[in-house]
Amino acid sequence: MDSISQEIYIIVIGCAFFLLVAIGIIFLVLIYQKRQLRYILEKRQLQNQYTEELLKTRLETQEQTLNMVSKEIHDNIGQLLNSSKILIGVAQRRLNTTEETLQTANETLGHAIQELRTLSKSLSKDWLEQFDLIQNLDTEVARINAADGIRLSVTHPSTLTMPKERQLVLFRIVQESFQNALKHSEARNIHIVIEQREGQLHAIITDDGKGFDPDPSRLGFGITNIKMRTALMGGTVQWNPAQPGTEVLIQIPING
Amino acid sequence: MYIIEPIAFLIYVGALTFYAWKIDGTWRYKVLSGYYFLATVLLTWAAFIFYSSSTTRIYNILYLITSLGLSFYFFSLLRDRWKKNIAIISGLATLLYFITNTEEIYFDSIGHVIASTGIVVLIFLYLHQIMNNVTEEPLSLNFDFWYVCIQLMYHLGSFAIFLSYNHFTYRYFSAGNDIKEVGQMLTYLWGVHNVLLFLGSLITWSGLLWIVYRRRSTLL
Repeated sequence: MDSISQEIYIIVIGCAFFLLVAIGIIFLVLIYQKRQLRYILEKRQLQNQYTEELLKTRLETQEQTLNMVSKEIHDNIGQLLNSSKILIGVAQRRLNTTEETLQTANETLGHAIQELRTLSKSLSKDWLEQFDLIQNLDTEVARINAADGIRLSVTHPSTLTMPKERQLVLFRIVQESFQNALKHSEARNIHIVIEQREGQLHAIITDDGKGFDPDPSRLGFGITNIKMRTALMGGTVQWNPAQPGTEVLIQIPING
Repeated sequence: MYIIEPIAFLIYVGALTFYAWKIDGTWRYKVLSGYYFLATVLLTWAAFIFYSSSTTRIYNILYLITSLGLSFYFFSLLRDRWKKNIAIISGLATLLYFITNTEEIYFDSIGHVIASTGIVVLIFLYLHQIMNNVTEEPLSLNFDFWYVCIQLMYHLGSFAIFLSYNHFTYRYFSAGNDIKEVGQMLTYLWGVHNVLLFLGSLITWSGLLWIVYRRRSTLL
């Protein structure tokens, strides 16, 4: 009896030992999984940071280029055109006659100078930072509508709560979107809607053009730019077919 | 004491049926649920006839269906072909032993050990699989992980009992005048096994309820 009870105690101790081994194995698996998960998340975070930095650098470079183009237009081409306008005026006075063709050329030149100034302003970051997205959009719409053939309209709230820097990036996205519609879709009417909903800003650009080709191999630099800027702001962009044309839906968090 | 076994298996039936019905209707949970139901019927029968006749045959059928049921479960759970083959081999080895071993013995330790060893090997293969495929979903929300861990604790914890129980039953029947005390010791030993089995079934329900609670909180 004593020997059998001793053996049974040994077996019970053996059971306890194996049970502890099993629990130990489970804990090791859990710890390993936790560490691996932490490593994966850190790696992904680093990748995201790298992509974000890359996007920021590319956008900064683009902004600098646009600024440079803006200055060039204002300081160089603008001055040349101004000089030309003055020279035409001098020529008109010397001729003592107001030739109709010369008068029209002078007026057209004046109009071109005005257009270039507006364009230069819309490209300049300094100028954009002084105004909000709504004002900039209205100016841009007025500029496009001044040209014949295209009807651009915009619906927006009276004020936006979005930080200025984000408004600027969004403006570039919207600008790029309707420029795409103007250049490629043969649209006659473009409508832009800006809405604020539950911490998100929605920009919907609808055109009545020939539609959007979703083939990735045929996507141009403009589309890549839109995607890049939207991703940088933590938002999404979708191109949906409309009847007729295309609808671009941009959703961006108001505060990044 | 012997009634704990069918109750534990019945708790498993409830947990697996609930999981297969409400959360994941994959075949492996339905088969597993069927296995636990069959085991509940067998053990209830064993509990009734325990004092009147031998239950050895019932326990032999139990280790066979345990091995076949869990081999199917792991066959479905494991992804690599070679791991699936090991699941087939594990089930077939137990079946082969069951068919070839016709000797009537008190408790078939070898049969139980073959079944348990196969299952423990399959558990290690599954743990290897999840360690090689780390996902963002926490393991605490993975029902398979809960179930496999409980099986590891049960089969590894009961291993020494399965291995030695035949030896002790021989000692019991060859014992002389102190047969009652030896019988009591054996009951205690099997009681340890029953406690592991019962705790396993309760932990399975706890894991299941935790998963349901977490999923609902995430949805809300």
